Amino acid sequence: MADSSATTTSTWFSNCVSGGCGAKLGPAELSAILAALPAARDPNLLIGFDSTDDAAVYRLTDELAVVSTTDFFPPMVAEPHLFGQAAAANALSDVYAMGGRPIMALNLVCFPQRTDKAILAEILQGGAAKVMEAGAVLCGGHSIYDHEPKYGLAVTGLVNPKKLWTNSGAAPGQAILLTKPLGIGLVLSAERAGLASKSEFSAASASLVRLNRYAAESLAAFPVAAATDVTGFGLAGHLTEMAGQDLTIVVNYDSLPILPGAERCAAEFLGTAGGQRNRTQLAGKIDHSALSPAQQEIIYDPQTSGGLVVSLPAQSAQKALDLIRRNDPQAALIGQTEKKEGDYSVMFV
Amino acid sequence: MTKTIDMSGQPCPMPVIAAKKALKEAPSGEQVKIVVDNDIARQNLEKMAQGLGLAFASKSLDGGLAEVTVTAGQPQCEPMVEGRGLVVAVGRETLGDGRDDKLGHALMKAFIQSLTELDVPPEYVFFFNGGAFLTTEGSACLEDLAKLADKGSVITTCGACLNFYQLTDKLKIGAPTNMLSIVSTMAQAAKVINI
Repeated sequence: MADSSATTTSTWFSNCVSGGCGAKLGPAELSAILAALPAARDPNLLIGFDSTDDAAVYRLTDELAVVSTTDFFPPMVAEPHLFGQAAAANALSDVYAMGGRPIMALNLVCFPQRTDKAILAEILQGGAAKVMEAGAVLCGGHSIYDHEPKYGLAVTGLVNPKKLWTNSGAAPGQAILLTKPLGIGLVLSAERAGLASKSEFSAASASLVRLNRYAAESLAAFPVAAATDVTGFGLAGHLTEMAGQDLTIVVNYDSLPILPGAERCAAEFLGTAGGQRNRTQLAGKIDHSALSPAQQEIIYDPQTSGGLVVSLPAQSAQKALDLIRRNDPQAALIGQTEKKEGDYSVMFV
Repeated sequence: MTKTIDMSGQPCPMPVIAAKKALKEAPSGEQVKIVVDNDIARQNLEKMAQGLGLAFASKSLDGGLAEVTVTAGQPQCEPMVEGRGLVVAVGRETLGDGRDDKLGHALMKAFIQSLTELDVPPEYVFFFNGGAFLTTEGSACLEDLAKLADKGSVITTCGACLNFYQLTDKLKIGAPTNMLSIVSTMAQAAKVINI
């Protein structure tokens, strides 16, 4: 069974401590550091890091703004081509989450000196395929040696500033729509431990490399009030950001799309460190008392290349969903926004 | 007896996986100590011990390490994770094959009646194909099935089968269901009895 390429593949991957969006720095840790940086005072900077949005947006004209974002992380899957696709889909997603269209991308690469460069070639090919699918151009990048491989993109996109989606525009009485199934962190962590089935892993992989382009394009025709993509902070964390100070988002757990195997992995305690960090971080803001312990893991599970979650007027929600489902059949209406009257930002019922 | 596993430097969920394995192999009452190098891993281990209903204690060690001690053995309280119990799937009107269906009918009635006497009733009882005649008007099993339902069993009948035999408006117990729901419940069952 001495397949040398397989051996290299598993070695390049196994040294990584925590892959994908699970490797994200905690928001509490980060915000204290960012607060000490000089504040931007340019009126054309529509979105900077004083908000919790997915990308920076800079206005060029009244009709045109640049969306700029970057995302990179260590591998969360052993297959290099799959990792490249996932990292690129994840980085491109931030542009879609702002209502924008990616136009160009740069590779960001960290790679160990001694690891077979054929693996790097596969990672980059996977990434390039997704940039092409997004209709953007790959036009350079930067690579350095590092003991642990990492890959991602810096993506530039365009958006009409009047049609910009932020994650803070939701109002009471709106519907919440989610375009991809949850549980990817749990299934991938089980896969690493050899505890996910083939079909569970392949469903997770398909979701991982799925561009949010199609869902975003379907949504362009609707009055989206707020949007973001579900990534490292899990569904509970990203909905908390969307709820802001004034709203409570009520989610019907039974309507959540969930990857096959994810609840089983959760019941077997295969939760990631990122999931537990989210749970600790969000304590007091989330009412999960109606959920079983395994269901709770799903809502805190960090998602790599997760779906879009949007708030939009209830009367257009079903139409939007029908259109999105033509390309992304797992999309679902998962809850609604209400005026905040208690302590919770998000309640699961 | 105590077993110590050093999981420092190992990412989640590796410490939990190693702990579960050690706890499974350990004789009841033995303590398994798991050493980890971060607080999140400690929390995940505690969550697991709690979920399995096992006694546990944690303490901090020098150098930023934490040690979680879990006692192997029988759960001290009900595990928090729900498992599906017994699922019984009935695809015929009679039990077994013989020369005379009279016996088959009697045996089926006895079988259903015996289900009501189990200490833990089945979680689900599904009826399909000929089984649909057991949950509908004229069945000799309705009384026992009602008893089962009272004990908490979920009783369902294949909707397409009811339709085929024109029994849809004669269903006397439980609700109609579809094949996908039957199959997914069977897939999650701890045990399936198929007759």
